[in-house]
Amino acid sequence: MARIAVLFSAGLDSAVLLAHAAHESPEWVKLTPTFVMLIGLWIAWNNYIRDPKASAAFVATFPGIYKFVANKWYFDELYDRVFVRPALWFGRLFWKGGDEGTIDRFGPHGAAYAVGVGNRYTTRLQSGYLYSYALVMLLGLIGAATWAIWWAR
Amino acid sequence: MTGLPVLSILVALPLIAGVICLFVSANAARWIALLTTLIAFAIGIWMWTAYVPGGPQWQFQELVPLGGGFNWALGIDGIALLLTELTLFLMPICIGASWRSIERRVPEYMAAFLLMEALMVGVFAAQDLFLFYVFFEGGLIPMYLIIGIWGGADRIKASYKFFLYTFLGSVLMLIAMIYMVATSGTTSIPQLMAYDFPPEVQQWLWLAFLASFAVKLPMWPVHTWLPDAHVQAPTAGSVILAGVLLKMGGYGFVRFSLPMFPDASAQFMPLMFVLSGIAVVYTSLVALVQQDMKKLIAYSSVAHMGFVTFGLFALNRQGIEGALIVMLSHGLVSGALFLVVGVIYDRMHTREIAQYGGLSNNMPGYALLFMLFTMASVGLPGTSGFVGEFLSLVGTYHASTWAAIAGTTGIILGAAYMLYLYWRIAFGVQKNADAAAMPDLSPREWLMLGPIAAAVLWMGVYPESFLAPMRADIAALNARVARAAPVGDAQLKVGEAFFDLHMLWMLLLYINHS
Repeated sequence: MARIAVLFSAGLDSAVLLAHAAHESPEWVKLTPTFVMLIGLWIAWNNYIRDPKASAAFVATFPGIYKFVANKWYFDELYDRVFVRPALWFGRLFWKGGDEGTIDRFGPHGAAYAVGVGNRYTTRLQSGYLYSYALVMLLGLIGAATWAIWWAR
Repeated sequence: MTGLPVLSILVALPLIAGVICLFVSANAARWIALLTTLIAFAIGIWMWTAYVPGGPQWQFQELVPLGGGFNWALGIDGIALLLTELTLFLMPICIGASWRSIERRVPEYMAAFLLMEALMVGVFAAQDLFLFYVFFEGGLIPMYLIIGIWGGADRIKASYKFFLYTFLGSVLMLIAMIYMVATSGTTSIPQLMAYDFPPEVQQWLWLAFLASFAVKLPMWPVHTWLPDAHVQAPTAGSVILAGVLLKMGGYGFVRFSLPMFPDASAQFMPLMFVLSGIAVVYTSLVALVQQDMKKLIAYSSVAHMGFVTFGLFALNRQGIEGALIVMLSHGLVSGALFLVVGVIYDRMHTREIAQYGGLSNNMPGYALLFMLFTMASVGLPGTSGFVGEFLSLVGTYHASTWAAIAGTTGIILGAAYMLYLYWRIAFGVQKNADAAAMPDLSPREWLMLGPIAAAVLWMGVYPESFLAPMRADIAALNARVARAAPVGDAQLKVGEAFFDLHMLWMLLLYINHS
């Protein structure tokens, strides 16, 4: 029980502190939203009710500011450059350069190609002439005998 | 527990029906395949209800010695149970998806699918090392035929690439298996799961198994067979490939790599994290620039499997739970997405994204379901995708904060490529008159997609149904790997409870005060 009481009193203290903190910010900070709203209200009243041509005049005087705001600070374009295009560029790089250009090329497709080329060479060995087979057999026998005599002792 | 050999029946039933299919007319083969898969699914439901969560680790066990050291040993734990259920659930849907779109050699097609079902159930149920290998490799044959005979224009190349790629990895696994049996003197998977190989031997065995499972899952950089296979495969082939065949790789890690070689798993954790991180970011970026719908979803599958390997090799409970839920969720969601692609492919016969657009106008029901599956793929809370990816990343964060950062990037990119795909297909102007004239989902298509949508929401809202059967098995697995698991860089501890009465009191006071 005592523990809970301590907890409660601690909670009470910090709540009071928090409440104080909210009250202690300078007066102008609290009034800022109201001022901003009033400025907006005045602009709207001026441009739509008092003098509907004023907005066109503003655009003619400050075309840069108008375009910047009308294009939402160019955030879409910024994101397009910073995130979208690089992502697509990397995607294409990994797809064409990585998957197709490297993994497939030196992996399965490369192996299939190597087998094809290798086959063309090995078919030449199969000439069908008995003497060429005999020669290969003889060379093999010599090789095996050499290995048995010299290295396999 | 009854004495009925349920698992043998689940293997034999489609096998027998498949043989019968070969001797009947096309229409009869369709009906036989549909009824068989529905009966198998009903048996599966019964099996789920009869399974006792937290009971014996292995249930529905069967053991018949075949002589020569080979055993017909079947049995499932909670993990295998749910993957079997996923298989049995997707099969009738696949038969439904092939009902009209397959017109040539229908009896042979249905036979191939039923053989596939028998082998997939066998993989998850096998308790003998060599029996597992036979089922695992046997599964390649029907899939090779399905892609090679009923596939698209470039089907021969795709089927060979698929077959050789996966087979090459598996040969190394076979060598490792022979060594394991020779050393330990047993072919029983449960016994091997408790057998301690010396750490230096574990390394080599682990790498040999990785060669097989990494290709199957697939992990970067051995994933390049998957986009080709998916693009060429008929719709139902893609569904089974993404829904179940990829899960065999993840299942292999859970059943073999982690429990049999815990020290090597911990040792290779950095390697797995780097490969998973690359997979998630790299393939997501590649998915972003695809113009072919099926290729895009194929690449997204590789990215999602990255979350599986992240979670598994985090070597902690949340990670493994998350990885398994991602596997189940991805099985449903990617299967559904391939069906969604199949629906419009059947109408327009093109997979090119640019040919579509504005389909939400003329196909509202289709757009609704497609949206649901897109959101599930992205990982929106309330769908199955969220539960799995979140748990998996929590586990990863415990093990390595850097890995978790890479994984989270993948979630953002996942949202980008999936929403971009959905936007291009379902929204925007209808620039193609043929696409604008397509009718909405037929009752048959509703029957295929509706149950998957329900399952996706169920898993998202109440994942406990799916976690409960696996809990004891995940705990056992975690206990096995925990002793080897390195300490993570995120030293998480229980925080001091701040938001309690104290906080509430403070809030009340503040409101009162101001």
